[in-house]
Amino acid sequence: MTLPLSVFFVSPTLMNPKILLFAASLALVGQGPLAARTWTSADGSQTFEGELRDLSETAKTVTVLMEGGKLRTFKISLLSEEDRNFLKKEGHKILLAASDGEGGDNAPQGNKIGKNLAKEGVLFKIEGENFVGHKLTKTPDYYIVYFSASW
Amino acid sequence: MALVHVSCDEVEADALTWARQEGFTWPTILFSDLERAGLAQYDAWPGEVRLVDSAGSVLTKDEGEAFATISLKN
Repeated sequence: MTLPLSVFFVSPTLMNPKILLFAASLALVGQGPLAARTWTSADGSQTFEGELRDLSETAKTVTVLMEGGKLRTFKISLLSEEDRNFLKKEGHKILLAASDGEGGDNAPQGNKIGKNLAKEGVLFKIEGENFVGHKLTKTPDYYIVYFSASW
Repeated sequence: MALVHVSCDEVEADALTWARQEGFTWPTILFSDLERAGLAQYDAWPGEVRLVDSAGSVLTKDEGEAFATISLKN
């Protein structure tokens, strides 16, 4: 994960200081919490070992890499309350921490936001005195979208 | 992770003047392109943040929570 260093040199009177702190924290990559855990079925009768690999709030599914190396996707509702709470509180944090920040050029087809931002004439950067078209060199897994105005 | 700035200035010249003055170096989306960029759905006001995943799902609108999530990288 990389951010241009110049992100940190913006006038704090115009950018929310929290945003600057936020951006700064992006540059500090460390080891995130482990995604592997023992999962329990909703009725508590079964457990299995697996590593959290994906989480969809819209589909309400979780994808786990099982011990045998197979990826399995299933409804979150099939898991115990403890697991559901874990996913709710920690799921995205773990996935984010486990990510190296950028999906690379072979980003998954589900990267909707990346596809939109890749359209011609959507992203701009200041070059000289004008905005010029810009393209992200990689397709990130996560985006911080910051809305602001000069007024 | 990418930081994307959405300029809520409706007049492009205002957005450009501001960006030039402050030397913005991150990617900016102009207000007129908000729909095309697929970001109008977030219904955000200036000063607000959305942490979203690659599918476009909002993970949090709360700055504090967003900071905490990113802080796990520390």
